[in-house]
Amino acid sequence: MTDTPRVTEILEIVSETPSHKTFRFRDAGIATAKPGQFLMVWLPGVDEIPMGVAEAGEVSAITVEKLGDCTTKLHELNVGDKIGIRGPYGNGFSLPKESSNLLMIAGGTGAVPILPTVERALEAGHSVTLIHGSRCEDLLLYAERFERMDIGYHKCTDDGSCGMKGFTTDVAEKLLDTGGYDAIYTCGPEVMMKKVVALGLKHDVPTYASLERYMKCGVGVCDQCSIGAGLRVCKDGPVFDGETLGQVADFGIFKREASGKRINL
Amino acid sequence: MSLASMKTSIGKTELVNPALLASGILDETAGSMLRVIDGGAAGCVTKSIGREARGGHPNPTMVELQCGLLNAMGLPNPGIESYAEEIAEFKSGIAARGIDAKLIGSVYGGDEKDFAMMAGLMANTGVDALELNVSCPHARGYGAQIGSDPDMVRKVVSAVKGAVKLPVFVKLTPNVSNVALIAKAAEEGGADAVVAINTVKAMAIDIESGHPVLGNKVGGYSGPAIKPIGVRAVYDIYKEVNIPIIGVGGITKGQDLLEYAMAGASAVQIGSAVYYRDVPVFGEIVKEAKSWLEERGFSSFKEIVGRTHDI
Ligand SMILES: Cc1cc2nc3c(=O)[nH]c(=O)nc-3n(C[C@H](O)[C@H](O)[C@H](O)COP(=O)(O)OP(=O)(O)OC[C@H]3O[C@@H](n4cnc5c(N)ncnc54)[C@H](O)[C@@H]3O)c2cc1C
Ligand SMILES: Cc1cc2nc3c(=O)[nH]c(=O)nc-3n(C[C@H](O)[C@H](O)[C@H](O)COP(=O)(O)O)c2cc1C
Ligand code: FES
Repeated sequence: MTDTPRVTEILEIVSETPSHKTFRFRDAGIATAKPGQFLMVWLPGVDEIPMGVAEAGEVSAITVEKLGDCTTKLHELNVGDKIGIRGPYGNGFSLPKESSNLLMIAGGTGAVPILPTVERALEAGHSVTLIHGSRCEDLLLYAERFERMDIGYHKCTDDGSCGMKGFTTDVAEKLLDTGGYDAIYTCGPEVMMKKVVALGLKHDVPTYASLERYMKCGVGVCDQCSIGAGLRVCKDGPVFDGETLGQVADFGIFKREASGKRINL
Repeated sequence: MSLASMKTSIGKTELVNPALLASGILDETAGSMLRVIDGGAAGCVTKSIGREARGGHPNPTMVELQCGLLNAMGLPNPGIESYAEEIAEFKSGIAARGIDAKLIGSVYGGDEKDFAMMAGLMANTGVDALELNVSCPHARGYGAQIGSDPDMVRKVVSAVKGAVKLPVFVKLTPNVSNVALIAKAAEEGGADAVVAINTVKAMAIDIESGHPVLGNKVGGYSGPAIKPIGVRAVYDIYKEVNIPIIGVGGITKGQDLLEYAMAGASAVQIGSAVYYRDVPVFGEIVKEAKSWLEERGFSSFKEIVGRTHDI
C-alpha cells in the first residue's frame, strides 16, 4: 500500500458530543491498525490532518473534534461524501504480554486512542481502570461506551458537572498511592501527560504517553514533528515511554508551528 | 582485500565520507540533524532558510508515488533568527561528540540582494559552507525562477561571493533545457561547487475526487525515479565546468552513490532514502559503496570520481 491518500466514502456519522463527531468508513489499510496509531485524513481542496484511529476493522472510524478550518469542514460532511486516508502511521500502544492491571488516563479528545486500547486490553484479559476527564459533562467523549465496559471508571470534570470536580491527575495520584498498577497509558493535553509521566516515575510504574505535534509528511521525512534528540512523533511515536520523555527537553514545554518556530505550550 | 578510503573533499571542504544529508529532509531541528550524523552522514545541509518565518504550503505537502516522493512543502522555515538556535545546538552537539561533521547552510531569496543578505546572516551562524537554493520548483518568486536564468544565477552568485568568505555551493534545478549552461554561469559567478539536482517538476491527480493530491497542486518529484535524471545532469555538468559537483537525486544504495561519482560527483546528498531505509541509511550506503570498491581493488573513493569520462 503506497503512502498516497486512498479516497473512501463516509458510511456513517455519529454526533458524540456538541464538538465531536465520529466518521465510519471502509479502508483495507486501516482495518489492521493498532490502538494508538493514527492516519492522515485528506479533505480534497482543504487540508490533510492527523487523526487517531478510534475503531479499526472491516469498518473503521475516526472521531473529530471541531477546532479550526479543516475539522469544521469535516463536521459539515454528509454520509456518502468522500475523504482520503493514508496510514496507519506510528507505533501505537503496546500492551503487556502477561495479564496485568492497567491504569489508563484520558483527557479531552485524548479519549480517542484510549478507546481501542481499553477494548484491546480487555480482550487480552487485562484488568483496566480508566480515569477520564474533560471540561464538562457534555464533552466526556464515549462516556456511555466506557460505562458499559467491565472496567473501573472514574470520571472527572473541570466544572464538577459530572463525576469528581478536578483533574485526572488528582484521581491518578490517589489510585497510585494504593498501588497495584503494572502500567499507565495516557493521552490528553501535554501538561496533563507531563504530570502523569512524573507520577509514573515517582511510583515506579512504566508509563506510555501519546503525543501530538503539527504534522506534514506523517512518514518521518520532513522533520516537522520532531522532538528532543530527533524523535519523530509521526514515526518513532506518537507513543513514547516515560523514561524517553524524561530526556526530551520539549516535553510539556514547547511545540512547533508549521514554520518550525517554537511556541510555548 | 585492501581497505578503501572513503574520504573526499568539495574544494577546500574536507569530508569524512561522501554522504551528506540533502536540504529539506530531517533538518528542521538540531536533534534530527545530530541523529543523521550519528546515522553515518559526513554532514548536513540545512533546510532552505529565509529572513522571516514561513509556514509553507497547505497539506498534503508530501505523498508517496510508485517510484518516488512528490512534495510541495513550500519552503517552510522558522526564519534565520530562530533557526540560528538550531545551528548553535547542532554545533555544540558535534563538539560534544568530538567528531568531524560539516554543516552547510541553505538559503533562498527573491533576488541577488536578498541572497547576499541571507548569505551574510547564515554565515554569521557559524556554518561551514553555504548552499544557494536557486532551484525550488514550487515556491513562487523563489528558487527555480532564478535558477533557470543563467544571467540571474551569475549575478546572485557573484553578489553572494562579494558578501561572504565561506565556500558557496549552488543548487541547480533539472527543470531547464540545459543544466550545464546554468552550472557554467554559477562557475563564472564564482561558485565553489554546484549541487545537482533539486526535485523534478511533477504532479499527481486523485482520479476518484478529480483533485490534485498536493495542497499546492504541483510539486517536485524525488527518490529512485529521478536518479537517471540526476546522473545525466552531473555527467553533462562535469564536461562543462572545473569546479566540484555534488550529486543528488534518488540515491538509496551504495551503487547509486558510485554511479553519481563515476558521472563526476565528488560527494553526494541523500534525502528521500530516509523514507525508504530510515536514518541509518547514510552509514549503510557508505558501507555498501566501500565494500564494492574494496571487492574490485580500488584503494579510495576519489579514484572513481569522473571515471566514466575517462573510459
Ligand atoms: C497523532 C495525532 C493524532 C490526533 N488525533 C486526533 C483525533 O483523534 N481527533 C481529533 O479531533 N484531533 C486529533 N488530533 C488533532 C488534530 O489533528 C487537529 O485538531 C487538527 O489538525 C486541527 O485542524 P484544523 O484545520 O481544524 O485546525 P487549524 O485551524 O488549522 O488549527 C487549530 C489547531 O490544530 C493544529 N493543527 C492544524 N493542522 C495540524 C496538523 N497538520 N497536524 C497537527 N496539528 C495541526 C494547530 O496547531 C492548531 O493548534 C491529532 C493530532 C495528532 C498529531
Ligand atoms: C520533503 C522534501 C523537502 C525538500 N526541501 C528542500 C529545500 O528546502 N531546499 C532544497 O534545496 N531542496 C529541497 N528538497 C530537495 C532535496 O534536497 C533533493 O534535492 C531532492 O529530494 C532529490 O534528492 P533525493 O532523491 O535523495 O530526495 C526537498 C526534498 C524533499 C523530498
Ligand atoms: S510529520 Fe514529517 S517527519 Fe513527522
